[in-house]
Amino acid sequence: MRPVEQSFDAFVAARGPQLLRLAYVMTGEVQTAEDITQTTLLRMHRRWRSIRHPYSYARQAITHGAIDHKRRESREVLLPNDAITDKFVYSTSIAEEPAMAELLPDLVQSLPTRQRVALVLRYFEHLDTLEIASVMGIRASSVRSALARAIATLRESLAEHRARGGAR
Amino acid sequence: MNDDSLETEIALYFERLAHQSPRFEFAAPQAESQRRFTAPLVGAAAVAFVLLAVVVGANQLGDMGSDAETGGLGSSVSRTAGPSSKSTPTASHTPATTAVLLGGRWEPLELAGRPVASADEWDNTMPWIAFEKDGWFKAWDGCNQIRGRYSGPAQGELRFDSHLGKHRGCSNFLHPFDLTHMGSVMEDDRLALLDERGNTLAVYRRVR
Repeated sequence: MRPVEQSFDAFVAARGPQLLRLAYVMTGEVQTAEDITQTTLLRMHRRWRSIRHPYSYARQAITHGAIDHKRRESREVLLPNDAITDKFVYSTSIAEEPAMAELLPDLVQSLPTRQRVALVLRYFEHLDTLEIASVMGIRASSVRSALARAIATLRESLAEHRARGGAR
Repeated sequence: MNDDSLETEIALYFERLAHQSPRFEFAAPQAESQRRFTAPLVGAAAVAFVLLAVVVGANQLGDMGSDAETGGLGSSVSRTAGPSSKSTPTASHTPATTAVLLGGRWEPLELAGRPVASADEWDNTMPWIAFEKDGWFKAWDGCNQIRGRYSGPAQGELRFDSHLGKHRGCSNFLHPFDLTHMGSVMEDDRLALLDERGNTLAVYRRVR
């Protein structure tokens, strides 16, 4: 629990960059990450005296902000994930298979939002299943399922890429 | 590839992505404890304040005339609100109440001496400020959402005590909250922000 008089600006100075990075890793978009972070901080600014665990509050708000943003975006843009996947699957002109590090960005970004957010909370924030469930507001079994599906999808996509001639 | 190596690569990817994160450039408000003891009109470089007065003279209202849309108030303000009037409003200025600021939004007519383009040209990004009666204000500068506290008006003085907002470059807008030692005068539904010499920095009109 934070001291009652811990100042909001001290929290912003200490944790702001970390929160922005989290939002950026979750969304992969600069402007979206900035907007989500700002919305979160503005909300916290107003409710500061009643927030007992500021970083947990902020992390949860950014997580929901990232999920909600993608949900809104998916209503506005036609099948962006399919487009990315198609582009990847049929990019057979690559002479050599790029390193996995080069493939992962597109693959991770093409995952369903909940799976990607769960991955970020697990492998970037290093939370366990119960903590992820709490942050995302879903059941632990759903977290396990989302993580398992995400890993399986990534593994299959990489294998498929090799099968299409990407492997050396 | 086993899951361990994939998970390691995922973690490394997130770390690399985090290093590409934009710089954190938010304006943080002053601490509550600092703000509590900040004396109005004294020092406090981070505290922007506004001297607010309502001009009630019919002649001055007449000065605004039809050219107010392009800064007519600014020229009127510059004449009627010099530095001496900031600390002690003259007899022709009636100290405003908070109620004067409430209701609707304030949109700029003039910024940094230049008329502001029409709302249509802003394509729904016209800057604005809105004051709330609980001491909060909201603003949009065309690029960034800003929220903060204001206090007063007391003795014609209105202070922006703190604010929070991104500072994404927004070339068409002056951040009034970043400026120190501002004064302002208000005529009817026109609000002018002044620098310490009484020069007009911005003129706003109320939009219901």
